[in-house]
Amino acid sequence: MAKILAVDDSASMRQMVTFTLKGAGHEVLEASDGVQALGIAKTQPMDLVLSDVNMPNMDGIELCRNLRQLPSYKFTPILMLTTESAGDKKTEGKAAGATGWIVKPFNPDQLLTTIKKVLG
Amino acid sequence: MDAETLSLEGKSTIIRAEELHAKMEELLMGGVDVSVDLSAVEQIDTSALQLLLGFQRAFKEQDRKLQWVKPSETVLSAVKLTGLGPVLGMS
Amino acid sequence: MSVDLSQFHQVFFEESYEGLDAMENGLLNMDMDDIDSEVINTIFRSAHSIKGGAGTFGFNQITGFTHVVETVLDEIRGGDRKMDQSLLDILLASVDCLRGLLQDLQSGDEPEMDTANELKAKFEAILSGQTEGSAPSSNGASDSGNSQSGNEDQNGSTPDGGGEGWFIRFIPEPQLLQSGNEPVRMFRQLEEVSEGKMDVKVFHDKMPTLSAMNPEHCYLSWEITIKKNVDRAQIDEVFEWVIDDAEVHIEPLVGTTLTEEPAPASPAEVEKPSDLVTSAAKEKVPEKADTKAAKKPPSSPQTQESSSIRVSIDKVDSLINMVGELVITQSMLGQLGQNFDISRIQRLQEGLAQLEHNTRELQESVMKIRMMPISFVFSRFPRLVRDTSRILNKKIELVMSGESTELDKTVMEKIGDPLVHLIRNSMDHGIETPDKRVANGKSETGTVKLTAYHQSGNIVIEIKDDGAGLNKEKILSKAIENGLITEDQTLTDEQVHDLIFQPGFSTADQVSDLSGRGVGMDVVRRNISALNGTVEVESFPGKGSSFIIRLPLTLAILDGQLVSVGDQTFIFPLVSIVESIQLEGRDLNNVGGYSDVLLLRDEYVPIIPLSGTFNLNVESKTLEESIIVVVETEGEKIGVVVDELMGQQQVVIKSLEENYKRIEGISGATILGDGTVALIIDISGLAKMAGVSIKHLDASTIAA
Repeated sequence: MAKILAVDDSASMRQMVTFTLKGAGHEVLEASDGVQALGIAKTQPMDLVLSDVNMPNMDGIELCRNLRQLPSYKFTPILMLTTESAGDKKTEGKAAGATGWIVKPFNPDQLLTTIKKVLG
Repeated sequence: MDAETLSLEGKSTIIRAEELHAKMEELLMGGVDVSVDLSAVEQIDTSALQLLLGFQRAFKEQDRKLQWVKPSETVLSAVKLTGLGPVLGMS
Repeated sequence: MSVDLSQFHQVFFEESYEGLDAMENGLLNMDMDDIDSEVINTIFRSAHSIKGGAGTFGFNQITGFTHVVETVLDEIRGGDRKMDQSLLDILLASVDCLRGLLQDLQSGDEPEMDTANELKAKFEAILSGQTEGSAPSSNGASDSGNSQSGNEDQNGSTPDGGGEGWFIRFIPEPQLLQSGNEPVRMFRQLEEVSEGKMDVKVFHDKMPTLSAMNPEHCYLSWEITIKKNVDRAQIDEVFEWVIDDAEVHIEPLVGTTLTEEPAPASPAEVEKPSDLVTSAAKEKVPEKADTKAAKKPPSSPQTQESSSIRVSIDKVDSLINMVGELVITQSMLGQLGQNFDISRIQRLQEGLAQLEHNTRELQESVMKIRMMPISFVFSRFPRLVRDTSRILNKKIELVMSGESTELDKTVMEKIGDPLVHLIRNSMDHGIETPDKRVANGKSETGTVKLTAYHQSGNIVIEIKDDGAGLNKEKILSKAIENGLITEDQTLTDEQVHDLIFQPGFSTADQVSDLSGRGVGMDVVRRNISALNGTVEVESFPGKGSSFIIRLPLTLAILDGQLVSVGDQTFIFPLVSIVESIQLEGRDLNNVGGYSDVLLLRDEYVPIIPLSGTFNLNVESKTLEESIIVVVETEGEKIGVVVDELMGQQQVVIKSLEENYKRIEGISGATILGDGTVALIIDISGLAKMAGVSIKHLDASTIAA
């Protein structure tokens, strides 16, 4: 049972992720862009952050960079949700300090399997 | 000589690694034997395991006794998974 | 765990339509000489989201198309490709296409992929550098981008499960732990994959003394032997995130010999898709897409009539506040009621006044929830005007104001099509060709002004053009031709203008794709009447025309005029009432076929007794003592005879059909303050019932 922050500017994605994770017994908080997410992160510790890359106001890469600056998020697992199957977004994410990534599109089972990797 | 006990916390992970390191260094300077109480550990990771290894080594060099006390299931499992059992003398 | 993804479809469609609107807006307003990178980003994100969602929610038919759109936009935003007019046009066509595809998917139909495939081919040609002025693209991403397992391996060995198992050498860099990756977790995963058949050997020679250690660095490395013939992919997956932060060598175990030397690292192999089609870009494609878009009924997300609504948090909070106050008032009244005596009557009255205040506030607040800015419907018009003016070879500018004016969501969804028709009409029949305009001393570019504002509890939408105005002669001759009027009738200008709302009326010389099909204006008026609204036209020859639509702010509540007939109470929609008069001193005439006709200024208005039409067995007053309520429906006036006028008030419309059955002439019912039920009159239904047919009457047809 983990506290997960799900960040995506697409409401349908957020809903799907929240529903899936809650169904597996986790607590989920949502944000629609990096600014919102950072705000939430500053007020409470999360066990995992899932973030889309392309978002208005603050994208996932910058969010990751900013989260890593917070002492409480130095080592928190951060996974980028990316549709790029080519390498550059993944490397950019890693450079910003992300733990890993999940490639979109993913189905609920894939999501759960992947987060098990970081919540184990 | 009295022995000191270092009790590892429930969440012995990289977040508290600096803290643990500092505690260990202090005890290293203390000169007495140390027991490391591992019973309360619910989460442990590579950084903590490394520190335990480093701690053990340092004690060996100084010819002092370091004892592992009641390692929890989590500790034993992590030690086994990373192949540190024979190295740490924990199985 | 099985999650039903269809529960998220509605939201996906809505946000996709919004995204497409944003894309369209961005593209339409793009200044080629000064491209705003934020706009490009927004456009890219919209396409990106739609692509992501399509794949996630199983709409695989469109993922291929959305992918190429996204790819092109990605190149533009990354500076690898310049936006130009032709690319913009194709992108706009793609927006239309996507809208259509999404609508098909939303209604459960198989999406019609012809246009999409043509556009996709065009994009692919552009991406592969077939058209001049574009940088060749090296994007080799595959369509269904679900590659969880890392394709990049540093080992030259075959990527399938080999032999007896696997030998892994894992040498992390010191900073591996900084990203939140954790070897213990990874080994746990390996243990699962290998079902426990795993040997781990750790190397700690690189570890400094305790004091020299950085507790957040990784100094250990490992050699792992997996004694089970598992898929290489499963092992790759464990290490996929740390490939850049560690040396990972994976080799198959052959027999019992372990290969100690790692094979030389080979570069990652990324598959290139074979579907870079080099189809000759069909020149007809853009026109085809255009006419197809024009033939299709105006595609708009609003026509889907979604059953969900997005509400701003402020509105919800305000609602919560009001309910809170209501609860306080209720509890106060409750206390009062417990030990009530007449001395406390003033407190009771105060409490009731408070209750009325709370209820009214709550009602307003709740209605506000259904209110959305009209910009949602206005937003499709810039595109419409742009495309239509092109087709008509006219120069027309659209000026909009009052986009933030709010109206009921359902009303808004239903007003879209009528507005489209009226705007098209202004463009087609109103605005003249550039030559004609210049010849008449006007500027080359015509203007269509679209305005919305609130006025006495209604929303008013005006469509004003500075064109030629309505052509009276043409309208008259067409009306005579269609038998709507006879040659010897004389009509006021207002009446002539109103003729265009008659069924079957059209002055277009040929039935063009546009507004000349003759199904237009009467349907427009009918649709607006169905919303309890009205539409009028004002016109000034040579100067232009104005269409004015008035709509109630909500469909659930009506401003009504209460009337009595005998002991029954009826309600007329206030918006339909022209005036109310008393008969005394006026003449009633008999016209062949009509029982009574009233001469009202310069026109004759048929009279209908309400009691008679509804067969009410009530004691009505004599005609002289009665009141006649002159109402207007579909451009026609009729006078309805009632006993008395009672007050005007807002009533909540309750459906008679749902609670009882449909009754002709009645559009709904309401419960008045004293508990009685009052029926709401459906004016056009009433007229039909009384056998009054809608035809112009004027003095010349009436025998003296």
